[in-house]
Amino acid sequence: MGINKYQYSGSSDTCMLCDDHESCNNCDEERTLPWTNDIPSQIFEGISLENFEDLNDDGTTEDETATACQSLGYIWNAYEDECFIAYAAEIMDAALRDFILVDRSGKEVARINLTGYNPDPQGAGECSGNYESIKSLIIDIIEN
Amino acid sequence: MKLNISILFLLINILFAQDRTYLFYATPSGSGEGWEISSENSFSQKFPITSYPLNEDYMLERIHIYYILEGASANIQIKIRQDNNGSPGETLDGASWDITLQGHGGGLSGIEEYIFYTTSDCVLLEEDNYYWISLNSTDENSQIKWAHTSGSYYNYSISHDSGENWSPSETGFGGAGKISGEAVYYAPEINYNTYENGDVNLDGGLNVLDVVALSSFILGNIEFNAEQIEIGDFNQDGGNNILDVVGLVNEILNPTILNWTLQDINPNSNSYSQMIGPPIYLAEDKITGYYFGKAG
Repeated sequence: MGINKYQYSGSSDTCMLCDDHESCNNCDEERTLPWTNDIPSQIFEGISLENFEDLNDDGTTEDETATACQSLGYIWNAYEDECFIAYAAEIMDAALRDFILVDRSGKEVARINLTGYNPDPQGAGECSGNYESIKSLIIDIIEN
Repeated sequence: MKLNISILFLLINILFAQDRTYLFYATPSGSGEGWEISSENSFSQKFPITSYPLNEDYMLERIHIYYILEGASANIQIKIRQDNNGSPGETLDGASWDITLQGHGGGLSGIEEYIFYTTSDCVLLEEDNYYWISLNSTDENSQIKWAHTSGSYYNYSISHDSGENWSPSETGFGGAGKISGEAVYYAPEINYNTYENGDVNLDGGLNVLDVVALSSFILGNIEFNAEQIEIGDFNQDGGNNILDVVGLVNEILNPTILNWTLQDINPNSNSYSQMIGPPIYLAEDKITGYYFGKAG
């Protein structure tokens, strides 16, 4: 299942779920796996657009606010203009694009960051064998 | 078969919009200067430029060079070479590409770019190694300048015989370009037979009996075998002491359970609109994969 760490309520889920694939350039069929939007466990009111200057002089303080939020390790939600700690991601201590495998006893048995280890078989993944390695790992955990 | 199809589907459904990993990254100085690549001169530079070599295995993904054309076009050979004690060594298998460079205007400085993907060539760059990228001309009429980098801290070497022999390595301007790779994932070995940390009586669970046994061992009242001693090191500090007992008690009273649920928002999934998360799937005796990213 997927947890969308960087988008929350108020954002469009269309191309994440691919329920209108003709309008999405990132997918061509509907996804059937469960997906959720992570929710904020804590909102940092002090990091808001009102509290930052427009240092870039581009008519918006969003760049500065987002940078301040992210530099503290929090998540900037551009749709709601709020700085968050994400609920599920915080509990799982997850980084962006972490893929975490949990066994039947609830123990984490593997964590793969898909930014560093690209499994896309259409890219270098086919050479690296990352796709097959991750697939074999999942099968191994299921069978044991 | 159904299992394999499900797994295939799982992996395909996780989209892989990736940030590129650069093994070498040097933008051009913009001065219009560069290293001459001709029938008489080849240039090679070492990467990564850090004081430590590659920290894991990578598959070469993409090469990007900045050049200044000296004629209408130029036939150039790009190679990735092994490091031979600080000098360019043998060319890696499959790591030689013949390209034709042409002019596209180049702007005021005359600098052009050429980018090509190597993902189908399966060039493995191994952990704990340095490598060299070299450019040489493939005919007498082909000549370019490999645009200088902004910085002058690159290790380079020059050849006057098309890369057969190389000069001693020097430090200075490099040839501007970018080299990216995809890290190779090696799955960890999982020992499914080990007992849970703290389960010193080896009964398959954590409870007050483990606390009693661990306390008795620390007080010298009972003996543990090697496996029990290892499992009894609850805080993993290398010994068995009262801190392990405290940690074990806390774990029994407040067990570490991945405990959250969120509502499924995918109308196409079997659990649409239901609350889902670790407690649900664990209750169903399932292994679960949680992906924290944006799909698309």
